[in-house]
Amino acid sequence: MKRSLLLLSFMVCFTSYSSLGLAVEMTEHEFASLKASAELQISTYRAQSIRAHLNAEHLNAEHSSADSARILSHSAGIEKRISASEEISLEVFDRIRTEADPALQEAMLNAWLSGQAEKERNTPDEINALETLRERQPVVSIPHHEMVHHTMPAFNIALRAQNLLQFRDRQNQARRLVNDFDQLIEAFSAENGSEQFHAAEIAGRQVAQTRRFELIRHFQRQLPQNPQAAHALVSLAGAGDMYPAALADVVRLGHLSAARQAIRMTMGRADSRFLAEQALSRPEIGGLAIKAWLESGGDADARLWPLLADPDLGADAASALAIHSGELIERIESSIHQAAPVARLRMLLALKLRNSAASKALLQRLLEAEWLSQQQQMEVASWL
Amino acid sequence: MAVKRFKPVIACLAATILGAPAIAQELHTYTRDPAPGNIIALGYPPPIPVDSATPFDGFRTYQSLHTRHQDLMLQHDFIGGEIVGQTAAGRDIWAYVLSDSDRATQNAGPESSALVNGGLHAREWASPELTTGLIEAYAANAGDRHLYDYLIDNVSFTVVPVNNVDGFLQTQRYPTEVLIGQDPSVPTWPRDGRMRRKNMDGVDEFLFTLDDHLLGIDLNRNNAPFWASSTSSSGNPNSLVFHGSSAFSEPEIQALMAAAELAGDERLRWYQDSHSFTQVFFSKHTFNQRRNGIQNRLLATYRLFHNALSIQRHGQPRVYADRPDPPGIGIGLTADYFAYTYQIPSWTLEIEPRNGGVDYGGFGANHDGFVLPDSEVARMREDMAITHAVVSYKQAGPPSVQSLNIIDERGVTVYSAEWQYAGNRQRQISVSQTEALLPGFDYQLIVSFDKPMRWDGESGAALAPGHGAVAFAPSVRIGNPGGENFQLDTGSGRWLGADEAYLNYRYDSFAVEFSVPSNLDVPNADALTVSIAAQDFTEQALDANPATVIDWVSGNWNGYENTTGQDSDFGGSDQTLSVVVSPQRMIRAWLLRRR
Repeated sequence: MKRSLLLLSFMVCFTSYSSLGLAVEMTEHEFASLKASAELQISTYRAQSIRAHLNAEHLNAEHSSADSARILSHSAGIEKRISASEEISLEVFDRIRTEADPALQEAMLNAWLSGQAEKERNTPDEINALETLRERQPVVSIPHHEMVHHTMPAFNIALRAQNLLQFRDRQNQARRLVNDFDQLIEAFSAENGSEQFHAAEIAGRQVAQTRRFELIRHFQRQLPQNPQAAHALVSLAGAGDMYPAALADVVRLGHLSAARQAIRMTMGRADSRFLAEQALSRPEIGGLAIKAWLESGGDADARLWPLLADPDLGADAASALAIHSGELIERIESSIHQAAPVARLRMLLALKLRNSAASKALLQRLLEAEWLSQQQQMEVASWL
Repeated sequence: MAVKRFKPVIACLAATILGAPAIAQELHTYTRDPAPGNIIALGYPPPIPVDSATPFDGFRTYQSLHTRHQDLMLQHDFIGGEIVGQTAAGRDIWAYVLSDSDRATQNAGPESSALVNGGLHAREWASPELTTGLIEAYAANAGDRHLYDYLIDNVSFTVVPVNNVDGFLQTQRYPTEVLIGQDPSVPTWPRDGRMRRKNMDGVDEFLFTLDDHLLGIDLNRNNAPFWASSTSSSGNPNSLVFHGSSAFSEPEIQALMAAAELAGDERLRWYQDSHSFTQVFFSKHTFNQRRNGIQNRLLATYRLFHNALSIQRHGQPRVYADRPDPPGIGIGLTADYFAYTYQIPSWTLEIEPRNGGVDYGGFGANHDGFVLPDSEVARMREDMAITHAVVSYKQAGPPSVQSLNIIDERGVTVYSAEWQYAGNRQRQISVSQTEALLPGFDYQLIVSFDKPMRWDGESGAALAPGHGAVAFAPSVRIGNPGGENFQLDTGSGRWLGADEAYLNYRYDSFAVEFSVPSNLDVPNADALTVSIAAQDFTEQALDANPATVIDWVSGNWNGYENTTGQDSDFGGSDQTLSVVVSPQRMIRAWLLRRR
């Protein structure tokens, strides 16, 4: 109750700064000093808090034993326990609350928030403390990184607090989902990027491997009718053992962004060849497909030439051939005049990107080709 | 009220710590999650550039972006590319002109031009994606017979997608690594690697040759007319804002000047240098108040449209505020140069985020605002592309009436007027009226403008996002002030779209049925003035006199008359056309003539 009142008064205090439009402008030097000061001050508060708790515990210990060696040993354990306790962080928070300098107060809150973010979870009182920061208006402003005669907020207390609260919410939801398979499926079926989905992702990392496999099977079955299921599959695969068959399905049937994510996740893995093949058969995935295929050991000359005419993959095919083809010059010289118009231009692009004496010499000869427009001739000439 | 106040004792203590001999620079690494050691945890995965010319939900390598530009250039005749210079390391800097080849508008003489620069600061990866997105949007939308075809026909839109190629490559070489400890201003500022800002003059490409990691020139401090004139730039070569040895000393800046020439610098109408972050325009106000007003309105369109588009597409507002520099203030920016040299709207765009990585759920790490998460790239690129097209549409010039046709109930055109460009910023009108308008008879009026006037909405012509104040239909009145006149009910009319007889672009023409009031009785066969008022979809009113072609002269519109014929920046109602209406007593004679 007492703490709630304190927090309420703290909120009122922040609101009043905001309504006054109070802003403290600082140079970068002053700002760096401020941050260092805040960290020092927080350390001092923590040390004082720990000492006060330790003294109280010592007092209790002295009552129970006269053995000083035992007291010392006992106190080391107490100190460790106390430093990690929520009491300390809340006492520090209360001390920050009393800080009269709004700039220093904001800097200390920022440091305090960093401490909260590093914890595995926050207690309800810490959550309440975080809640009081949600609407806090910025106080300190520093020179804008580009226009030093303009300023920008130095800290983002409100957003940081909101993000942390949101993250804790997701964690709490996730803890519930881990033990409720049906709910977990429902959460993974929610819109990608929604809070529910985020919570499901966290839970997906925490469930037992057998459960994860069941989930994979469930969404794999859904995929042909529901491309959105790909997002759940990618997330679950990333949490576990990749499940190449499921990811191959994602690449073949899934929502485009999930398909690309699946390719990026598996790139460079020894078993990625099949998945890369799948990717190449879905041109809208774009250059990632070619990169994945090459990284899985694919031979550029064996597969990429026909792709030059593809509207989506052609430029990437040209780029890859420029780097990897062993027969670039000969093959272009012998086939360019018979190639499709789009493929011809990609061949020119490949020669440009090869940037060798031989490729430039061939470009020079091709400049006179009748199928080049005047503008294209000028552009190709600028490469030489 | 801004106050400077800081607890002195603690400040002194901290300053003592900070003032200790500079520590050696240390390598720090951006990661998603916190970990022991020199880790800067973002709270989201640090983007790693990918070799993919095709756009995707993430950042592309420079080589892939360049491949994409070159491919689009070869594939489309309205994308022309030229090498405009070389970097300090000798790499080519390219500019791309997005326009048809004639450099002429449809009906207003020479095209205007615009210039957008990208990638001046190496670490601001959102910028090259944005500029590349502009080119990609042209390629994707050409042939729309609407906004993009209008721009291709009428504007020479020039893009330098990556100016500081050397620096950009350096940041991509080390996508997660930075050196911290020796910045002369603030030792905690990360430098080089992922956080390189300057060019690579005097710097090798190996991050771990430490003695050069602070060097290079800040290209956005290297420009006249305010070069080295403020404390916002520095003469210290180690400074993040080192201005170089003289204005325009850097080859990258010289390339930008060459790009302006390629665009047609005498025809420039606006300039943007694209940076990140803080989601704001730092625009330039000069001593020309008319220019400043036009710029304010242009940026209002930018802000309103982009925000409304973001709400429409993603359910999230995204407001870019304008924070103009007062006249006479500058720090050596490229935007300073274009504002003062060409007296055109000119600004530095700072792309999102507004606050930093916290806007995307991040932890608020050191300099994380420069690290846009992969997941935001495609949205930013696509939304920005369409917003820039709208800005370009507006600054291409205010609309004017191009033709007026009146068709009688038999389908015969009884009145036709058309303005045609005659050279030297003049238009001439050709008018033909084969029959007077007859009181009591029905007609269709089609008025056509020289640009698409309405947004291409999901179900046809619409008001553009963020521009709901525009009246959907034009206002048309026939008659003379104080005399006989009548207002057409344009609310029942429609903008002509697909498969209809628009003039050049969908929604450049408006058709409405009307009847000449049967009780209208002009004394003689008098010509009545046709008064037309309309706004384009960015709220620009008509040029009241199409005879004098609008152009940009000395920092403001010229030839943009208001209703009373005065030169203005706001336009008015077009009252240059008139139609003959039959007196009651002559109706029968006109009808007999039809036989």
